[in-house]
Amino acid sequence: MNFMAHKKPRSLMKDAPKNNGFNSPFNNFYYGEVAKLTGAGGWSVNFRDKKSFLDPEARRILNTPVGYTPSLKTALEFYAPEHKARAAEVFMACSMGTEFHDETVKMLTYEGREFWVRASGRPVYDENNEVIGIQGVFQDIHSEKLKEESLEKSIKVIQSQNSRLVNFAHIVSHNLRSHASNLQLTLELMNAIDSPAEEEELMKGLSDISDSLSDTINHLNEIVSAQSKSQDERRVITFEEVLHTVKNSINRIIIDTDTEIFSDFSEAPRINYIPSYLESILLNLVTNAIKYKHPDRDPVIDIFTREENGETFLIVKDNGRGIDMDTYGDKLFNMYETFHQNSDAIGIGLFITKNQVETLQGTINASSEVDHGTVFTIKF
Amino acid sequence: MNSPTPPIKLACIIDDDDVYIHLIKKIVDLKKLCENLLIFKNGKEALEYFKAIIENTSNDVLPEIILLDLNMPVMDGWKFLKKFTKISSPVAHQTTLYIVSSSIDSYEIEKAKSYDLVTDYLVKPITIDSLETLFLGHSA
Repeated sequence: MNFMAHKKPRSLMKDAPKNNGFNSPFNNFYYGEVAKLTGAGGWSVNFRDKKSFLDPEARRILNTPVGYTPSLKTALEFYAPEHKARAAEVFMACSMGTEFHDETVKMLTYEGREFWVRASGRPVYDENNEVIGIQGVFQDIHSEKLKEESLEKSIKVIQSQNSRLVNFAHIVSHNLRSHASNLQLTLELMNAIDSPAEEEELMKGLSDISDSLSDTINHLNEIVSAQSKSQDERRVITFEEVLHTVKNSINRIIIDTDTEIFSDFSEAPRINYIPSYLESILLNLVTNAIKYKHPDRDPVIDIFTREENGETFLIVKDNGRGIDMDTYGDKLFNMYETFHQNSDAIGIGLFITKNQVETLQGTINASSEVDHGTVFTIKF
Repeated sequence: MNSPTPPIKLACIIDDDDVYIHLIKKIVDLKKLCENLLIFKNGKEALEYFKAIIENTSNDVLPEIILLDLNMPVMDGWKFLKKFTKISSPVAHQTTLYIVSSSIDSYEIEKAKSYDLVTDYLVKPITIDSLETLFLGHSA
């Protein structure tokens, strides 16, 4: 922006306290209304007078106390720690003559509440084309930014739900098809065989197929009912009580396998969650840890919570045989994926767990090392 | 038609479905399609066995026909195909491999057929007739 362009609005600035190139039309009615409507505040810094200026809307947005005197020295305190460097950089560049538009940064109010703004600024020149200050506008876009973030989060959840639905449809068709084709082949074989003994054996086979078919349908039921429980109410529950319930329900397995469970929920003792979900999530992770224990040692399971940036994490760590994440990582939470040759592996536990976590807008991740164990981390 | 000596000495099934394996065994017995049948429950078991033969650490022979399922735990049919392709080049002519899967996904069918090793893709259920054609056709 050149110097000449700044001269034009001067006619509008008759109310400005010091009219040396700085635009301060804060008594203008239209300006005031636009500022209020858009939540945009004006600011300027005058290098010569060593004076900073915030207009009424800027003061309102920053929630400064009455009579607050802005200064260049303390200006950086209005920026979130992680954005201070960026703000300083843009400000320095501007004081060398580079204007900025549409910078999105996180600011702090006077009392330290974080909020997002969009800011612009341009240098102010004197008659000799020297930069004598900076002036600009910043707009409070916090609620838009939050909406944007929650939209992005929703999109991610929908994408992952979608891919699980595809997986689900694939598996349903595959499994129903394999039963159907076994049925067909059995019947064909029955027609081709004359011996009554053979026929009887094939009949027995038919009942096996029928059993597997109803197993498959039961698994599908389980998944559907896990989904529909999301309509249950959330309430504040302690991790301790939920773990207690889980331990009670599988007490025999824990004793039979000499499993040791250590827990520490001191960092985040409670959570507002659907109780049946948390119970099912913990039950799945604990039984998984026992089911896939290392052949050479008794299972040891560490369960604890973490609190970080206001978010609660639940971590379940075992010393089991682990899983090769390079090979199976992307399939770990898929339905009917089994990775070990356990005869009781069905491959719906983690599928349901991930579903439940994501239904309530959380995430679940796993890290693992073969022969060392697996760590599941849930962000609520 | 059912000759007293089966035309094929050794065939192999790689599949995790017990019922299916049992049925194939029955058909093979009934129609006397081969002398011996090797059965592996997943790709890994099969691969380890074939590796030993190809690397000459075993005196066993390779099967003339392999029926490979795609969807299996531990090592699925795809992984098996990849690994088997790598080790089988000197002996590939000795064996004919068919995919037998219940997947009707055209993408999977095309992908499977793109392997040189794969002679054909059969969708389950396979019929007694088609199995017979497969075994007899192979020996002819």
